[in-house]
Amino acid sequence: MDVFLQQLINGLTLGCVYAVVALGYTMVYGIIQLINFAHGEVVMIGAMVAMSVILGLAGSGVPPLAIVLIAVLAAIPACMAVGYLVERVAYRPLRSAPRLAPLITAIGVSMILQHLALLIWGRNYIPFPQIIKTQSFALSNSETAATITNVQIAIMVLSVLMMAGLIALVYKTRIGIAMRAVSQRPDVAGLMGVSPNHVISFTFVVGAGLGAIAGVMIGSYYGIAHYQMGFLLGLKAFCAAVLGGIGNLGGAVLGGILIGLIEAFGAGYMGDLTNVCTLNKFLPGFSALCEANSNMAVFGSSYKDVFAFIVLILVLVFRPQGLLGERVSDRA
Amino acid sequence: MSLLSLNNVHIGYGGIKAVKGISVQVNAGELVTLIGANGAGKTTVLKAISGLLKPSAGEIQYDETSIVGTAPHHISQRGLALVPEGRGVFPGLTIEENLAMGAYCRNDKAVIASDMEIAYQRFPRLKERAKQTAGTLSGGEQQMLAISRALMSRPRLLLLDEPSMGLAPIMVQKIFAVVREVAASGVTILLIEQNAKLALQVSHRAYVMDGGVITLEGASPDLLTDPRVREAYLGEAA
Ligand SMILES: Nc1ncnc2c1ncn2[C@@H]1O[C@H](COP(=O)(O)OP(=O)(O)O)[C@@H](O)[C@H]1O
Ligand SMILES: [Mg+2]
Repeated sequence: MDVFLQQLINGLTLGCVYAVVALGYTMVYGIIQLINFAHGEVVMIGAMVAMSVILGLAGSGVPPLAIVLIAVLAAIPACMAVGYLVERVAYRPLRSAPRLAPLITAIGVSMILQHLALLIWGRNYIPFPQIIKTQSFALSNSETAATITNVQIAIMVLSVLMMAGLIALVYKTRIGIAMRAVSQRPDVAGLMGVSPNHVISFTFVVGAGLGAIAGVMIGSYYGIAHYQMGFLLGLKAFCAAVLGGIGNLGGAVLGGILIGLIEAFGAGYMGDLTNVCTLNKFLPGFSALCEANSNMAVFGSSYKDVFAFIVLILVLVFRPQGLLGERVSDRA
Repeated sequence: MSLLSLNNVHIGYGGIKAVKGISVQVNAGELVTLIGANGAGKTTVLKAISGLLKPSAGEIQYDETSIVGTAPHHISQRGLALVPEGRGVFPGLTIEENLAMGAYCRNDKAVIASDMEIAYQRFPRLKERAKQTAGTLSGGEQQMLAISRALMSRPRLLLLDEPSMGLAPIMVQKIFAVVREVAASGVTILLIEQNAKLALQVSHRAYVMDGGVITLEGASPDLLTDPRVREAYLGEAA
């Protein structure tokens, strides 16, 4: 039970980060049907900028909480600027090009941003400064009790606030209605006096702002930052968006949480489930092996990164539009 | 004084020439109609006026200034509203949100709310379904919504692209009554129709278009009795 609870907490934490990143993919896809592969790199830049600010201010006498706040407030506009520029410079000129062109461009932009980060921050893993001490709270009195840390609590609370804020923005405000209008009929939205380009820029900027905070969260959670950290994170968040139904905000949240949980439970139980020694009860014949080593797992927790993709493939076989997506014929 | 004037306008799609040099005037306060068979180029003309297409040659002036090459949202901000062919409602937005989009460029919340109430009084069906998405509406209801949405911007010039298309006769009557009412309230209207009889009955002046050119023009009552119009567009023997 404790292992279960622990993986649930770990999975929800990760899932929240994936969900926030997935929202960035799904918003952009929803409005211009583009998979912005550079979004993972925007998240990485958020982590890097925050890390630099924290390193710069650590020991300056500024209280740790204020340093973190300043770091986040620096990461957000930095990422917003990157998101804005990427759309303006790389994607907008290709708005009416065949779909493959912006897709390849997105992959190119992702490479460029990685290498820019490599130039600025170097190729090494950089420990993400833990200037706020991580505190663990045990959830029961047992020796093996599951714990939750202050960082995990902060990540979950912040993520839920951001998701709620985004949904309020999209469904309750004037610009949010315009975003949905542009995604449905850009031409007609123009006839209403909406500048589709402004709305598209706005969408990139909001997605990048969410990505910035996600970057700070994942950096402090894993305690490490690296110029390639956005790649796998971005890929998993993209999977989350597709799993939930790309273009659908609720789907991105659901997909993100599911991918986080699958990864955590996969990591926690895969070793036990694929331990051939458990088969010994039903199929004697492994005894010799298991006397030497009682844990003969075929797949260990190092396979955790593939679970997200396996689940994605399985779901898409049965529901190509994703869990909450609507079936639409491809317009390309 | 003409609010809208097209002077020798040519419009094409790639190599295809759809409109070959037309000149049209719409004076402030007028209800002018442009009629013609399917494929004559009527929709193409409206798209060019609203900025969705750029003419390859010729001049379009709105309120005494050229709007050729101006983006649709800038043209719309200057008081020109288009009810597009096929109505163009936002299917995933509610009726209320569709109407709010019509008022996107206005800031006076109280007046917007009262305009929305006027739209609901005009079409009570829209009020009943205010919270439903527009995609669930029937064709006639979508047309009511598209016209109401255009009026939410309080346009000076309203362009209507075949508002009667695909509607039951009773709905056509209702829509045309509203067109008359809007025109009477002082909004200048350019109405495109295939239903020539109805269009000529409500309008002051008319242009007849065929194969990308204007073939006839004049006061609507005159065209209603013109033998060429009666034969070709009203289905009557000359
Ligand atoms: N998107 C397009 N691409 C190429 N040709 C078009 C396009 N839209 C319309 N046309 C052509 O332009 C001509 C005029 O079309 P349109 O303006 O829609 O006529 P109307 O509204 O009078 O029925 C037609 O011959 C039509 O085939
Ligand atoms: Mg037409």
